[in-house]
Amino acid sequence: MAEVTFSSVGKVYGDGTRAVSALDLEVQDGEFMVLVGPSGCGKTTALRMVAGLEAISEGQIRIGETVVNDLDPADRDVAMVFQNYALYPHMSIYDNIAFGLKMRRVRKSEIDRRVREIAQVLGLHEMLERRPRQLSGGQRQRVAMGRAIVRDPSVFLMDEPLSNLDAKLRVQMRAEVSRIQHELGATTIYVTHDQVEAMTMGDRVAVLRKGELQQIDDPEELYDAPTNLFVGSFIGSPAMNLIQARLERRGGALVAHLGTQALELSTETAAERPALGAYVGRAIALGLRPEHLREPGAARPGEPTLEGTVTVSESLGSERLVHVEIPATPVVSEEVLEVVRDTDAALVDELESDARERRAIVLARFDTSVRPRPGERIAVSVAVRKAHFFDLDTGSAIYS
Amino acid sequence: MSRRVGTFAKQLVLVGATGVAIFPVYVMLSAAFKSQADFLESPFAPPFEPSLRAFQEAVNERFPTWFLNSVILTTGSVALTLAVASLAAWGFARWEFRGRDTLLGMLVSLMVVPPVVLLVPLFVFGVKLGWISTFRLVILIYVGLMLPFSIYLLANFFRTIPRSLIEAAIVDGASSWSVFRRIVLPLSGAPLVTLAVVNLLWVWNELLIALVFLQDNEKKTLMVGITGFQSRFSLDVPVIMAGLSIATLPIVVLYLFGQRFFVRGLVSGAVKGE
Repeated sequence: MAEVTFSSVGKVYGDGTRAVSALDLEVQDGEFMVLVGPSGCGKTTALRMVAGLEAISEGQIRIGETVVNDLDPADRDVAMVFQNYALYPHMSIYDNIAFGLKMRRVRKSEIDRRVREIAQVLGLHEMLERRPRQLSGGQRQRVAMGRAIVRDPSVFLMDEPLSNLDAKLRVQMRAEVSRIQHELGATTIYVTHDQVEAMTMGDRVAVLRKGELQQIDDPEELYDAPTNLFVGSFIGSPAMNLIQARLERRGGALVAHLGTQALELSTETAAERPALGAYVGRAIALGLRPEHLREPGAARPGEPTLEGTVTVSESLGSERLVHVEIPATPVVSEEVLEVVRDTDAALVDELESDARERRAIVLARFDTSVRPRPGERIAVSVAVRKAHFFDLDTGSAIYS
Repeated sequence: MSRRVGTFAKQLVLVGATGVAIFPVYVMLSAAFKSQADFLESPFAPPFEPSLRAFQEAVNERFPTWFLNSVILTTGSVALTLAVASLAAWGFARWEFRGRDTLLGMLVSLMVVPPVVLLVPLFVFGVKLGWISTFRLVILIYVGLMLPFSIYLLANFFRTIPRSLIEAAIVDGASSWSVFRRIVLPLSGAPLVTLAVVNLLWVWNELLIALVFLQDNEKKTLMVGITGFQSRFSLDVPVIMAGLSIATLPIVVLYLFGQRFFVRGLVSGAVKGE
């Protein structure tokens, strides 16, 4: 196993398109690093540069101590799992797994031993003579994993390997891939555009946007302290509610005005973010995670509330997601629109129209016992200490 | 009701088309079993008194030589065409190089050049090389004529092979040649068989080039030999038909063998599949 280091790595295609810019990233030995971001953020290109399937235009990639910029893929000691599995359809499962070893001229008896061992671990031992088309999606996925593992490479590269599976199987395979990775202790770079996958699997997660690294952190830190509006709106499911607010000082306290309503920030909140003082009299983006918007009964003493009208109430069994319309302006910065566009392009128009009409739909997580009906006026309590604040001009988070 | 009429009309057209296709074969086979007198009396009637006389006359002492010559030319030229075309098509399909599309376009445009236009220059070329009446010259000419279509068909097929398969093999440590031999070729069975069948049919039935370039009696192909049954003063139709029936037999067998691949090869790339 080995660490992988990106030093000021850039990729410019022949037509001048820049896919990756000055990427600095260090993947530790044995670490599970997830590269995540919307379509076109450069995550797959970065991965393919490690594999040697894309030339590196700028900078350096090292695997262990070796600079691999000019090495052929075969000489980099990496294994890759592809989005569509890329199993050789004309070969048996046995031959698919054995292919890499055969190419490296490993002894036949050794190949046989290793293929059977891996097949046992992955539960494929009874289907070694079958062809890929005779296997289910999950089994094919495991063969693709087996083909990578059997070579015992320094680095595993995985390019959205679970995206072709159905939702249930994806959850199951997510756990399985994590388990295998931890058992092997293999350095792994995993590309996905599914932020839930990124959060649940990665030791650390690198968020990319337009070829630039936005933040690299462990999943909790990424969720609790996003470095900018893009990361804040991208990470989290359901997404963070982002509303435009104007900061004012009332008495000694800071108050965030959202349309006609005001949220008083506690003295602790203001103390934890002294930089907020500089934004008094200016508009900022206020970020509230759905779990920090709760039914009034769950409010802690002194927590402010926001009033609005319920538009949708969805029970998920363990909790209830309540969509509440409040008279405030949603944030429609380029970063936010990019994330929304990646989810569903049609929602961009909807969000922009909401902004014009100064109407924000916020999502709140309620207890299932609370059953507000659409059209009902309710007061949602806001855990302001957990709120996030972003500079609307630069998109940067306001912490210190 | 109207749907039933529509179906009936469609079937009528199909039956008509089948009849048009089968009728010459019927005439060939029925004539082969007739005497010359029977044939002249009623050319389209079935052979009421079938005889093998025409076959015995057709299979003269030179027939095995002609047959063997045809086999040599056909297998030699088709094998060489497949080998060259698959390598070239792989280059066109997957390698990036300057002028690639222009070169492929030029190659494809060669498909429209009729062989008869090339006869004189090729003959001069053959004379200069001293290769007239040699199999190697005719094989080379056949290969040259078959290559454009073969490369075009294979290049189109190779482009449908998922890029990730090739990349997986490269990351697995396969060399360029190994990728071609172990991944690309085994996945190209259907188009290769299709090409083999199409090309075999053409070379086996080809008359013009064989007639012009193979002037020795010992080098004649089956088609040239059978044509010789007809002379200015005699025309024994049943003998010609018997010769043609025998000549057709290997091709029919071959087509039946390759039919499954043939149909698959012609539609390959039309739909997204595995």
